Amino acid sequence: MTTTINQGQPSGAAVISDAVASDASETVTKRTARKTRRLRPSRESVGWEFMRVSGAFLIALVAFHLITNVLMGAGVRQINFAFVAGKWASPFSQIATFLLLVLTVTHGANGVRSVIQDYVRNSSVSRILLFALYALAAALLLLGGLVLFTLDPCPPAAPAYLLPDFCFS
Amino acid sequence: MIGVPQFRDRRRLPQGPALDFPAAQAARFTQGRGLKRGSLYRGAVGQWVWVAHRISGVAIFLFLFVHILDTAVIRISPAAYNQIIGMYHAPIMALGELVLVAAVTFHALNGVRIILIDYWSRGAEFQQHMLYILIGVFVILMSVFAFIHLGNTLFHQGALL
Ligand code: HEM
Repeated sequence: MTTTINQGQPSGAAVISDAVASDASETVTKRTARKTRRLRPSRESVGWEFMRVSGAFLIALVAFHLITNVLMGAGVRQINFAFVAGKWASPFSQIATFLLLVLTVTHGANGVRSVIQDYVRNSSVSRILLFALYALAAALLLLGGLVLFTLDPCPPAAPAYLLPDFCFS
Repeated sequence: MIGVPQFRDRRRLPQGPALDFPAAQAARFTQGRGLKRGSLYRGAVGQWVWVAHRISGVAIFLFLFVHILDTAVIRISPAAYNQIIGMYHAPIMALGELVLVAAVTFHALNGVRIILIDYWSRGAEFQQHMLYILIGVFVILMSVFAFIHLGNTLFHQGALL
């Protein structure tokens, strides 16, 4: 299980500068130390950091999503076109939903990426799976974003009783 | 890092230089205690919590895929969306939603634990304690959620629909 090793020391830059600083003891000048610290963090370590930062934001977004849609009012069964379109008419709700979309898809896809890389040893199979994963993530972001920002809450052809109240005021 | 028993059982660890890598710590932990070496990483409960974090993460991602598609139907027409969302009204779905929210709640709480283990200077030391806190918070949150959610669905208006 390779990930358990990854979990210990992810931030490439910090590790390298520490090792250099302690190995070369007193002969290390401040300039060298500064140089090593300026190394760019590895791609893996950026992904590792991203999982934690996006996870922290997701707590608030997911909690808000579940509270407003599943817990408040009449619960899940209240969800229908009028309810959702009515919500997305507010820019605040639209932005919160957009952030939720972007962060869940990127966090989830990045997580599945590490799962694929951990278990799929065959490199061409792994490359195909990763390509499919990225294509799926891009398609979900595109589809979700388009739906969220182009929805007409009062489509003229629809029966009135299916629409949010503000369509008639 | 998760589940490596260096802190839980600190006094019984063989002495030596500090080891930063979990695999090295695990290897040292197994030394001289009759545990099989080499075959598999052997952590404590934390190892299974890590497996559960992984499975819950992938499962939530699969649901996310379905959920973005079913929500996208809202762009087709109000009637089409209401019909799709009506499929979630089957009684079995209420239980499915309960399991899904349990997976998300566990994953989120354990995510906080992972973040604290990695960024808080004493996080690794308290990882086992944080696991007990996680279980407690999980039970409280899920009780509240189950009460409200099942009240809105299965037990709506007193009847088991
Ligand atoms: C609600 C707040 C969430 C928090 C705090 C959170 C936290 C985390 C953290 C810290 C990791 C990194 C684990 C590691 O590097 O070992 C992770 C992994 C993962 N998360 Fe989340 N997450 C959340 C929500 C989600 C959601 C909504 C999804 C699905 C779309 C998801 C899917 C995953 C996956 C697939 C992994 C990879 C598991 C692995 O590599 O073992 N997470 N999560």
